[in-house]
Amino acid sequence: MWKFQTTELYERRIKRLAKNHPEAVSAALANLQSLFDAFARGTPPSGIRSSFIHPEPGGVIAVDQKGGDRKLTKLHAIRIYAFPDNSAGELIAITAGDKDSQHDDIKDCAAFVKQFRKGQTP
Amino acid sequence: MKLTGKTYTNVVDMMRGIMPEEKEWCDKLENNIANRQLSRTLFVMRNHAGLSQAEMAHRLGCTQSRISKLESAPSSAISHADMVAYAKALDLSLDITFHPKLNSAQAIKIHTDAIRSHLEHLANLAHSDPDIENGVIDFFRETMGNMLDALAAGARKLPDHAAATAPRPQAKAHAAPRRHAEELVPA
Repeated sequence: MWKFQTTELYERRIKRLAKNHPEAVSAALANLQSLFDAFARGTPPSGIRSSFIHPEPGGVIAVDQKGGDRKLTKLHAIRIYAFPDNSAGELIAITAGDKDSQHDDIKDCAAFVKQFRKGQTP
Repeated sequence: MKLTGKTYTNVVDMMRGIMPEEKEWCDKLENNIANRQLSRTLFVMRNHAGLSQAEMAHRLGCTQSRISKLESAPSSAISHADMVAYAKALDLSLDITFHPKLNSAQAIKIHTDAIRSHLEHLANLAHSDPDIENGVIDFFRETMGNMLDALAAGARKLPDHAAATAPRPQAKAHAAPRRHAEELVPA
């Protein structure tokens, strides 16, 4: 059975984003749930394609807010970065951010995956 | 970067765990996700079939944009005809069932009966071929581990005094050496 796990960074960032952009975060989380359900159904990461999913280096997947409530036409552009650990059946929420933090977020994700693959993640 | 060590089975529980003080926002999130149950199912089915949105659009004779909209629409915006079309395009059957609302204990009992029935069916299949037998034995081993883990994970969330009697998580069952079928059956 698949599970979510979180990093401390994700928890800090998503809290702040949810406070400032509640609708956008809600829409992105709904998309994250869809991604999670696809994994739980046994679909491999490479087989999951949608306009709200963006593959990032190292197997990280960024999920954006697209497709949220269409009455809210201008949702703030945010991304939640997750890493599927297939062997443990866990989708790890690494971090979250917006356009301004995108470059640093991707760097954080790369550092996390490197650390994770070396088995050094506490 | 540290993992929190906390695990969740869905995003709503995750956010309730992270922001317990934001109950109203988490309730809205839960509604939002519940309202997209059908579109999420369409998304999952298409991806499981290995199709892109463009390929699905081709099969349905519509635009990719239409597929994108369907897969993020609230349930109220998805018609029976949409679901039938998806099922047909993916060579699946579509069943709609109505049943009484169940509490968690009743749901677990019903699912347990269904699991028992499926396991018996698999066990019967194992008699037909040595390869199938090995596959079924592996599946039983993995499932046993997963079910005990799930039970233990639930029990760990009980109040402290009750959790002391909870079963402990099992070592990964698939790491165990191959055993004969009888060894998997508790005495």
